[in-house]
Amino acid sequence: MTKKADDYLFEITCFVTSSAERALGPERQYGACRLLQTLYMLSFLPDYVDVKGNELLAKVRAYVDADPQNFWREPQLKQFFSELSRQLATEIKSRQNLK
Amino acid sequence: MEDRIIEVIKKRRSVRRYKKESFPMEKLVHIIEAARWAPSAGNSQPWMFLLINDENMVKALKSVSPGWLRDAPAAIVMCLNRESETNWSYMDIGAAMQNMLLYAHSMGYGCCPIGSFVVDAIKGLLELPTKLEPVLLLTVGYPDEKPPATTRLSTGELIFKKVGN
Repeated sequence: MTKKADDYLFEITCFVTSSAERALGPERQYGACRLLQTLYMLSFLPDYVDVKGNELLAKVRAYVDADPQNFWREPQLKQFFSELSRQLATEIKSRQNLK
Repeated sequence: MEDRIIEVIKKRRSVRRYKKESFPMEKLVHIIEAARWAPSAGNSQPWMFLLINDENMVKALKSVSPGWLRDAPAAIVMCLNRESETNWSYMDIGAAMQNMLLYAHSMGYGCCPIGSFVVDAIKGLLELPTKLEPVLLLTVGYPDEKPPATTRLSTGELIFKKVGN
């Protein structure tokens, strides 16, 4: 059975809800990992609905696919989010016509 | 025999990528046979298991388990049985889990313990009685990857002191 857009949206909803529930308990340290996984899931959104995606999500997918262990490695994850944030700033400036 | 056991111990890996093939209930039951012989405080045997290879239920469990990253054909839910609980029950369940992991690996199956799941959601999905507390999930299937060994501290780093010859 092919997964439909609403099924995929529900899958993301389940993931974010369960991640939030766990983060309030014993898994606070997993917060950034779960957010990374959420971004990874969002990178597949163009498979289900009529959106193009963006370079930031593509970068997330490439990062995760390169080595799933990257999820748990603190120095790499910190560096990755730092790079992603810089790229995010560039993208925001471009979209808002800021110089 | 000893060599074979240490080989199984050293070669076991957490497998997260499985073949799409279904995993038979009979083999899940065999894995429980390995758990059954684990040590427990005062022989309390504080464990109980739910064996699941129904595709829809496996997906449902995965959807409330953020630590479960990829699809698997089957799962075992390891529960603490409150009626036989002692102060050492979590260690006992850990020993049972290791028995299961080693047996599964020796049979060519793949497994991965998952500790990150929403307990109340699992209880609701499986309609667990109050005496059963889910403490670990085990994904099970036929491996579709051979993860490399992760680094380990050397034996020397682990031994704080030797007393005697």
